[in-house]
Amino acid sequence: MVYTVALIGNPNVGKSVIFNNLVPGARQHVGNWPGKTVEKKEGKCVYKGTELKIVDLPGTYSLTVRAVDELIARNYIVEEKPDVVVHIVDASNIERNLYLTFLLLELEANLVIALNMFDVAKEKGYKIDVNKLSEQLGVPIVPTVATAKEGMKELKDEIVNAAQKKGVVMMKPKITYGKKIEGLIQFIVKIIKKDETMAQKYPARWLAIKLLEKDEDILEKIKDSIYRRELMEVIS
Amino acid sequence: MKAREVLGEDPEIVLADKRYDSISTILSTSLVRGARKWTLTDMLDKVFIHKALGIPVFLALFWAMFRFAFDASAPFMEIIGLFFGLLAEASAGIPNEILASFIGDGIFGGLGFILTFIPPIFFLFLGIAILEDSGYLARAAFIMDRIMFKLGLHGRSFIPMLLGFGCNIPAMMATRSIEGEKDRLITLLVNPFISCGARLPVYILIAGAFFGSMATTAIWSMYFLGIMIAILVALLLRKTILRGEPAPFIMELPMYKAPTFHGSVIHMWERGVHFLKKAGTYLLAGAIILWFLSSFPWGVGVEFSYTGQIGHALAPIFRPLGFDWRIVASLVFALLAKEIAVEALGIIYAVEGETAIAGALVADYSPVVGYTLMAFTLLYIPCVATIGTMKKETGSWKWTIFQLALTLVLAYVVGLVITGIGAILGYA
Amino acid sequence: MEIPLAVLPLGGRGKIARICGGRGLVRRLSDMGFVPDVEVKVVHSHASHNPGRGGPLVVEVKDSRMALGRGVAMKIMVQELDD
Repeated sequence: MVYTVALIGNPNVGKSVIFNNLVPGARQHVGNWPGKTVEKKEGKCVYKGTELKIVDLPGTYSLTVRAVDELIARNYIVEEKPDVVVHIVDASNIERNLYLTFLLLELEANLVIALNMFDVAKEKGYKIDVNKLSEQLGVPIVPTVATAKEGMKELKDEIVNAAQKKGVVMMKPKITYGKKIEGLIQFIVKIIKKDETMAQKYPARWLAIKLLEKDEDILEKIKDSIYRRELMEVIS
Repeated sequence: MKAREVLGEDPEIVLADKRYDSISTILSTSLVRGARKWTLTDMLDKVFIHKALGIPVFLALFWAMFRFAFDASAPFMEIIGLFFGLLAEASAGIPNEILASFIGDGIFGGLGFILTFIPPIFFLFLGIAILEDSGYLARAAFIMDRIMFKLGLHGRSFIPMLLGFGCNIPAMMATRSIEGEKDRLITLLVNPFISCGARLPVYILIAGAFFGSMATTAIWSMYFLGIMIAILVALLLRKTILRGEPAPFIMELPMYKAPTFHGSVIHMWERGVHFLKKAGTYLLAGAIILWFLSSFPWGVGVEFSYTGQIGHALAPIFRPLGFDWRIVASLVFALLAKEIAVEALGIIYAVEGETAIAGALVADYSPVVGYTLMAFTLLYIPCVATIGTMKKETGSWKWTIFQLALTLVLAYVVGLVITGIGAILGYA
Repeated sequence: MEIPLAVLPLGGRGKIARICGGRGLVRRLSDMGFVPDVEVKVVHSHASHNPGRGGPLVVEVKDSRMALGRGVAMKIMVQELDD
């Protein structure tokens, strides 16, 4: 069984160190994302008899269409549908880092969080209740110190765990955004579900949110839908 | 249902708000913040981004990095040079003359040449990796943003410009961190005007030959000229075909942290190998082509080889600059790598050693032509590997060819200006 | 009273009121944590007598340090907070 695992995270969080911890140098392969000048790093690693194909997505702060990096990361998750997405979070800068986590949850990615730079957070005097955090987000969290290779084994355990659970456990959003917005989202989701191609291709809730945000890439993608006018009426 | 009506404001803002709200709520039960521990970083930043000290410190650090790269790599370069020299000699024993030359001069000569400057490039990458991993590089972009903005560029454009003094190729690779597409394109287009390390041996030879005590000044003037042209062209591009404002400067300044040897070496290695694969291919291909052009027709000597023929064919175009076929031929050689011009002149004049070459130059050309040649070397088409990098970084032949045209035309025009001024001042 | 972030003195604190900018800028700033009601503090500033000019500044926002160009800082409107 080969599982695809995507690594994602803000710049400067130690993502490449984790990639190098998971995939020994010799098994790394650097190529190009098709049609782009951004490098694509991927590699294979074998853990407890399971083969993991690890793809390092470009470091990004969010998943909007502003920059090539972000579009690549987002499209990879939406279209390639990796089995697991590992979000590497800087524990010492956790508040802003969690923004990307929320975006990933909206995307209904099969998430595992590596709470990296845990040592730096400790030095800063932070106390993080990992279990509580994990429970509230509905995502498994592994504290790591990538530079010291701490937590790597536990991370791999969680990755394999999550990969095996994918699709078996329904990803219900634990996090909602308030009655008004949720009402709008549901309204749009109903319209989306009428269009079979759209509903199959993209997670409905995520699509609704992107439409509300007037995401250029998504607006382009729904151009051909017969429900386009209906949708545009709601969001304009 | 209409989104705006229901929410009262832009849904995008509401969503961002709600996300952060949720985050705060969640963190309120699972995170306890301790005393602020930014002290070390703040203290360092007081110096590194100090209004007056910031820039000198920055220049000092980069100068140190360049020194480190070149000094540390010197012994390696020697070893590689020796090794390939031996290989080239050994292949002289191959019975078939042409094959011997192909393997000795073409392949080993070419490869040896390419591989000699791998150590400095790798050490340069190491230096950058250390500066980047420590968090300093973000500060550097921050300090230079003010000046860069006036030039119509982004603060992040400064690092590639500075790296260009070492080698344009890693410099161009470094433009990847620039967000605005136009900003990045402008930085890429003008980068070759920054005088890279390869041009220095050519300046030294020519300035040494013609300008005696003023040689150092002449060389410095080339660096200055390169910077001026880069700035002017950048401004021009901004005002014409790449109009617009630089992307807004929003950048995170991470806490300073001691870079790990392991981590920095990995970064260096990744970039280095990448550079090798790309530049190396072009260089090897170029070396073989150049060997072919200068060795054939077989046995007739440089002047009647294809390279010589090209030199003769193009010479009329360059006569206004005072260049004859020999100089043009050496410029063709130098397309492989600019420092080859020195060796090329040696081959063309059939002399060995810099003093002899200098002597030959002084005998045939005036100081004005010498200076024009220096400027031309600075400005004209970048070396093959740079061209390859440009294509890779832009993903477009259109811009690469534009750059070729831009550099060539500019070199010619500046050459004419220098020749003109020289004539007015009374030098032939 | 709302003032641009660029006007806050070194060490000054403010609470973000709104962003005066296009969609792209608003998004970028949101991604980085600059949303209404968030508190920011000016940590470094290359101020000049005219706040619209001068070099970039560094603010602390949500556990991180962000460097902002002067132009951007002029578009972030804050309520100044007294200590």
